[in-house]
Amino acid sequence: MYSRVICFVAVSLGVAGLGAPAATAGDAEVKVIADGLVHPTGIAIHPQSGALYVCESGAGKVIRIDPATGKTSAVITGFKLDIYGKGPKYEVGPLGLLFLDGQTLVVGGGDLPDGQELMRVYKLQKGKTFDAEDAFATYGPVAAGEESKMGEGNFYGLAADDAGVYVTSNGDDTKGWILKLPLPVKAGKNQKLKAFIATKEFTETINAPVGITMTKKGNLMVGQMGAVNLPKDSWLVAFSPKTGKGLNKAATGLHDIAGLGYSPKSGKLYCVDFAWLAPKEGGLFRLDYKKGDGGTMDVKTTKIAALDRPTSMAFAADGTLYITVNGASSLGSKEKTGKVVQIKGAL
Amino acid sequence: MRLVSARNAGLGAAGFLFAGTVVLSATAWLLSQEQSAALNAGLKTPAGLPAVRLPDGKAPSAAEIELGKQLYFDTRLSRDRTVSCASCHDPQKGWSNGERFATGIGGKVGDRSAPTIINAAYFPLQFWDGRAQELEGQALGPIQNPIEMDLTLDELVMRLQAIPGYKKQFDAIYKDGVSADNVARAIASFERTVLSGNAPYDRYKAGDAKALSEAARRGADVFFNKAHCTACHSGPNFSDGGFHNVGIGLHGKDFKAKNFDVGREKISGLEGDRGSFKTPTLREIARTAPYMHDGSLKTLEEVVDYYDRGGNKNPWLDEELFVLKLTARQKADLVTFLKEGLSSPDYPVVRPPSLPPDPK
Repeated sequence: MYSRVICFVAVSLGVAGLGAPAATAGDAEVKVIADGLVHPTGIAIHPQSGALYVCESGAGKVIRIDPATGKTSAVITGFKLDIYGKGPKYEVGPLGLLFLDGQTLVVGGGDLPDGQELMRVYKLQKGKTFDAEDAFATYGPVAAGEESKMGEGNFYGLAADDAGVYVTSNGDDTKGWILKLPLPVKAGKNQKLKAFIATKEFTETINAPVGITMTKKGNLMVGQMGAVNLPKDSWLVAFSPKTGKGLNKAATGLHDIAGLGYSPKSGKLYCVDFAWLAPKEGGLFRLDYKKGDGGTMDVKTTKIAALDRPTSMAFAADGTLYITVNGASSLGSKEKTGKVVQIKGAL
Repeated sequence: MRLVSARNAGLGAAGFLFAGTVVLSATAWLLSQEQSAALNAGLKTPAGLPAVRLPDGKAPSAAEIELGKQLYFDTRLSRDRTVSCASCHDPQKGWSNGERFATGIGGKVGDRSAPTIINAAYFPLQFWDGRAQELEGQALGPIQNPIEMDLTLDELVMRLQAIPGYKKQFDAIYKDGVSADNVARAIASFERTVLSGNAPYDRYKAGDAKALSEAARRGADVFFNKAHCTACHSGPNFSDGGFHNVGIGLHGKDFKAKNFDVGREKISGLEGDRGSFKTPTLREIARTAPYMHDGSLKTLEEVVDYYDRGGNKNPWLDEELFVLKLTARQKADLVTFLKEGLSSPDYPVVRPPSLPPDPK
């Protein structure tokens, strides 16, 4: 089922003074492109074809979706499943996706326990379905040790520059690591995945980097999810990918930022908020920000669309936004409530 | 130790340093505008702490803080006039009560320890289970609790309206005079001044290498690294403000029957919060024994031993707990850091103020 309009709102939720609310998304429309998915969590858009690649995490696979028809096909299958959460719980396989070029797809793992998790890189071939084990290259794990007491895992968010792929990770809550996969990709197994930025050393209390994207200036913009059982504790934080140093940080008043991205049309920053404790307050938000004093930022949030537990987002080159939405289902649910939705309009 | 006298007017309590001294007459319950301005001009947050969040962004007046202090120490806010906020949150006992559980009117005993008021201003969610938002949301809870102070809000307002010294202050400070909400505002404003910073660790972090003893420095290294404490006890207040299941109170319990205090789950409705309680501050921890939400550990040595063995196993145990394998010296150093490094010479001592007398 697709092309079904599900919802649209635009509400200003000012956090810190950027002045009057900016324009809303106007005539934007939210359509369901694909549904019946099991915990979709990561999305990337093929740079040439515009096809959507989605981690259907709870089904242990990466699928391809034609955005015009909603037709889906398996691309990578056979990921193991790990349990995330203590209640509600989710079965998770692959979590994050990023295209380096039209053939090279980077997959962030969530399928293995912390300390064993892998980044996998696949060289796609038209019409071929890969097994999870058929990766061209793997990076990691970051095992338990000096850098990470627990070992790292759950690689949600991916962003890249010429030097590397930056990966948000969970694991050692005293650090909140962003890992770095060096580029160019080389064939081989278990290559070095560097514990690169200890985000909590900059944020002090707010942990759990999840959403990540590159700014126009080439810095990393990161959504620190915070604790899933604390309301409105998500931060927006900027880091230098060259030095790893924290640049600016700000509380957003959002619950659990799960994905971030800049609109190629407007240059504005958007995020999706999973909102564990208050799903009705979650959805798509625009984040208008400017640098403040002493490493701070002023951020104003504007709600663009109510979505039921969104997990990731990606903009197509024409400015169309695609979002993975989990819905209400969790481990043990019979219903498959996962969706991919499309938002066109003035984002 | 910084000691603020009863008559040194409102801001007196802790945390804030004074530019000058204000002396009130024994019967004057209100600060003049000049007195209030003098006090406000001297407001400072102790070293090592960020500015205190104010729910409406507006700093309380000195008069409001003074009123809150009187209410905090006044046993007339309980049904049998024997229990005040300070009974369970006593400045002389680390702003807790030194006992395992909180004790209310008629000797009624609760089932959780009395958390310290120190730096409570930094927590958006109050109580061990976070059921109240901000200090304003917390203040009226114990007053109404049948096993603590057991007064209805209507009774509370009637009692205060009947005391001229209180009525005069409320009428002067708030447009709507005596009300339950204004009681909450005043008490919260006072509690927001109960701060502890400028500890040896703050000075050490700021560059004074001699601020900590050698053992405390080693202990700090254990705290921030091997012992994994900052997974929860992070930031300036040594707390993430979050909720964690550390296994306390769960030894030998029937997990299916849930015959234990489920903590945060009762509020959030999430199974993942079962047995979770708020991370307390570690500032002034040497003064706030016994420890944990149920007061079950008498000493910091017992607390360190507990975490060293990875806590009581249960299905909801926080994944940040694991066997630490600390040596005896590392444990001793860690305790030294907690006691020495986080105890401020400016500990907020507040003496009970003179209270408005009952009507004749």
